[in-house]
Amino acid sequence: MRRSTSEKIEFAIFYIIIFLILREWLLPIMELTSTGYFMQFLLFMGICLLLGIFSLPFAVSWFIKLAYITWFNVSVYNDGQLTTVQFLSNELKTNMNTILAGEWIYVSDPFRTSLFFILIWMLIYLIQHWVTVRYSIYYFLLLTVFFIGTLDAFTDYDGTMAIIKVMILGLILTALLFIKRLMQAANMQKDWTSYLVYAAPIIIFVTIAGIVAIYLPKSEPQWPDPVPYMKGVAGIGGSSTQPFATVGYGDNDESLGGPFFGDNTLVYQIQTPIRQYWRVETKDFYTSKGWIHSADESLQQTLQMADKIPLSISPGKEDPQSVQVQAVNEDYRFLLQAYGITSYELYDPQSVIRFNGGNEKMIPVINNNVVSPSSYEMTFQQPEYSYTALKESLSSTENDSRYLQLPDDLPQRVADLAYEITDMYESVYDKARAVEGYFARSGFQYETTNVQVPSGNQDYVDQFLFETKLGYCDNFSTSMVVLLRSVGIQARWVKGFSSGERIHEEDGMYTYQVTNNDAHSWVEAYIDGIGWMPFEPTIGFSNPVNINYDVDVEMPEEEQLPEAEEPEAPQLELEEQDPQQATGDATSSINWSNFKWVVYGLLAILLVGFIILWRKRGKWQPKLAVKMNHSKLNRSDTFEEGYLVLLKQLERIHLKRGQDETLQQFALRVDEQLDTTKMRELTAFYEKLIYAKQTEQIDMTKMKEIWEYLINRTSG
Amino acid sequence: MNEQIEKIIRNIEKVMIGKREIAELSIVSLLAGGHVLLEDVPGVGKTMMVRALSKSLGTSFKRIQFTPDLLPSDVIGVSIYNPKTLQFEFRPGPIVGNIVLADEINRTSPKTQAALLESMEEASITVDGDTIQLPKPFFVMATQNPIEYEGTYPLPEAQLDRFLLKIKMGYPTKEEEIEVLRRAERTVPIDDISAVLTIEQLMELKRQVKEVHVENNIKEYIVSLAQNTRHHHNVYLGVSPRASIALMRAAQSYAFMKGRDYVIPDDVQYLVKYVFSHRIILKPETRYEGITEEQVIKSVLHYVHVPVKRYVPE
Repeated sequence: MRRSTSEKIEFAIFYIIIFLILREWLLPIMELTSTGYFMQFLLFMGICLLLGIFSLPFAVSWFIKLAYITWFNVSVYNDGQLTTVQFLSNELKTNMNTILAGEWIYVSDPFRTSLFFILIWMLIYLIQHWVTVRYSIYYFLLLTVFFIGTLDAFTDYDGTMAIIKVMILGLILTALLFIKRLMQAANMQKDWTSYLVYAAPIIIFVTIAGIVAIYLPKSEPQWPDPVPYMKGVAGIGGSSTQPFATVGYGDNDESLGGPFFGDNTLVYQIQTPIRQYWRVETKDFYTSKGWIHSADESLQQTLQMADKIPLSISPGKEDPQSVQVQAVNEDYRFLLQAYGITSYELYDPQSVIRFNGGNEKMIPVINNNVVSPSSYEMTFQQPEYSYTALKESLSSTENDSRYLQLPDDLPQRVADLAYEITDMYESVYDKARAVEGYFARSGFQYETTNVQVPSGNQDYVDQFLFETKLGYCDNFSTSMVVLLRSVGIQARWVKGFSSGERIHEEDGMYTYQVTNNDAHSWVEAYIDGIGWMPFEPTIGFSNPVNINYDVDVEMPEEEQLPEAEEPEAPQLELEEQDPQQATGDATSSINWSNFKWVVYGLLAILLVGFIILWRKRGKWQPKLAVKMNHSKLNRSDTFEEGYLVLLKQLERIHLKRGQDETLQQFALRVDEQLDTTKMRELTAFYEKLIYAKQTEQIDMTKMKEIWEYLINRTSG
Repeated sequence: MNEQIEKIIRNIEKVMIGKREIAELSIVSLLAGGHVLLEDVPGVGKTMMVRALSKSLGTSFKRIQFTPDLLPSDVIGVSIYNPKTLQFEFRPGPIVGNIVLADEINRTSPKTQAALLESMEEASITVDGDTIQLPKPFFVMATQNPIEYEGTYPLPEAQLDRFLLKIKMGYPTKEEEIEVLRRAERTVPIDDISAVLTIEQLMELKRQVKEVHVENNIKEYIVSLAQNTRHHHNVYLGVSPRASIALMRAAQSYAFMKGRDYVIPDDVQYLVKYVFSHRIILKPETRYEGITEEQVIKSVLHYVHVPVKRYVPE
């Protein structure tokens, strides 16, 4: 189909608007799935639309699009070790195998990306059809509003502006297409002046109305936020008034529990030689609802840059290594701590560190003002724990009694459980490992949304351990601390960030991106002769601890090692990229909240598919009817049904028999319309069937042919 | 189209120009054993029509011109004393014939009208206690002039019911009329045609008409039409069951003429206005509004569903 220049300009206008609307689709998808390369995807959309305007030959446009997808995959995923051809053939091979094996979730990222590209491609193809052939964009617009509305309601994506943009753009496009339809229906010549005369008022009206609407005062929402409301009505997820918290680092932990939403805002970019957790502070006093900090102010001291840092965790014996931290979030006015930290470099000679020995929080200060340095460096020597020493230490008595504090009204069953878990082990380390691994063994699940808040006198730990068994890091870590303390092991609650997502590697230095989603809490336990040691009870997470297995090969204890360390090892990579996905794997259950929007998307697609099928039923129903009624036509007594099906089909192409119209009259009308004589032939036979005394021998095969011919004509 | 009937019609068409439909309907009525009421002004070819039909069939043709002073015996015949045989002998009236043209039937007294209509219904006449069968076939074509009402005796509803069809002749078109003149310029066309069918053949056709199948769904359709006239808001008196029978007979005959051995709804639809229009009485207000019987029947047809499925008894 060749287009004139004016038509091309016209379609270019349509496509620009569509491009802008599609951008609103892409944005939340990118945001919610933490996908990068927004511009590249956007560019692909642009290319698809552009190719559509110039209506290039099929082969050329396919080539360009496929080339772009290939280029993207190669440049993003190929790390240079393989040639392009090798990379592509490798990818193809692995994914074919994976798919043939039915292991859908293991297809590689390049393959997923390609599928996403193809999805965009198909979507644009569909939209092009709507615009260029049907001059209607209604479904697409409806879908967009539905999509953004759903995301706005059910995720933390804020679609306020997106909806406004989509509505204004959509209404303008609808108006332009309506004019186009009108002009075509009226057979008007394409004339830019008259086109503008029609279009301008609408565009001006929509724009002004949109702008005015933005600045007008809005009434309060008439409906409650659907997710908590529905959960409240259904009686799940605790009280419906419980607000949704957003993940991140906060100071107040007095009331733990309740659902939260993810927030993948970048907060730190860290270059480190090893993957590790980042401490911020510890808390020692458990209130049965949360944590507070008990120590007095006397433990406060100010550290100069040169001073040794008096942390309770002593550095290891290895060579000092350094970590570069780029802090993005200025609200986080504290310093991250690597395990085994020895010194800080804050790049400002005036800066000092206010250190609180009670909770070990480091606050950077310049001239008595708490600051938030955008970048700093720390030197650390990774602590190393001797396996032999760990196994030998049987007590946790030295140190401070505040790390054994427990609320007076802690239910007895918590202590009983702690005893039960640890009874069979002797060393403190083994006991702690037993508690650490208890959750994964006993059917606990990682969950961020459907998390209860203890009500009344209920204990936060008790509720998690015995009732809900659903929760996130705070639940797991707090429970572990309480369980350890119940059996006399000193333990404290540690807050900080997990290692984040590795994005780059160079000369043995890894670059990690730490987002608010990585805010985390874990456990440190005190072992006599060893000191404080971190533990990670949360399902799906792992904190690499450097343990020196200085044991003889013959030692029988070795058998316990695989249970302790190995199962987590293969998960490391996975967790770094997507802790939530790892959670799914680890607990072998699907975390509904993460797949929610996928399900909504599928539902929307199903709905649209259904609508399209219904609207197009004239096209497929006859064929179905042929298939279904084929056998019926072999016998004359069921031929009647076949004929009635045909009448129905004809109705669909607006050839409806009037109630007073005889079959002959109708057949004549149909034949005139379809320019054939078949309907009369068939009707003559049918008349004989229903009005005559008995059917003569009639060539059924011929009737069948005629019937099929007519049925197919109704779909033409 | 039945070949023999086609032959008759073509024969009639040699005389009558552009009146194929009238010829067809006449034959339908003849084969169904009914009679026709032709309603039209004089001079449009009513007599010629009947004569052509009669001549094509090789049957006897009688004509009765009805006048106000005509007596029943003028129609039926009279017994006259024969001095030679010393007995009364019956002299048959003009009614005793195969095809009878009863001209201007509404001009005669009801008594004479009744005599005619009775013999039409019974196909026999009774004179002095003796019943005399009329010859077969017996087919009456009555005419009435709708214009002149003065000094006429309009046929009562019950009498009209005895006519199977009521047909309006209508004027020929300009071209047709020119053709009429052209043919009548030198010769009398009626003299040139001859019989194409024997009486036996005609009787065989009549027998075959009765064999034409009327499926139950068609019967239901006919009855629905009839009942609808009885409930129609413009109708004072609807058609009788006799009308339903008449419609079925006519439809059989028409289907046969069209070469079918079964009736289809098209036959019924085509015939219903000829069969029903003289059998319904419109409400006076309807008549004042200028609505005709034909229009009412059209609306009846519109209301009733055409059967397109096999008949399933309720």
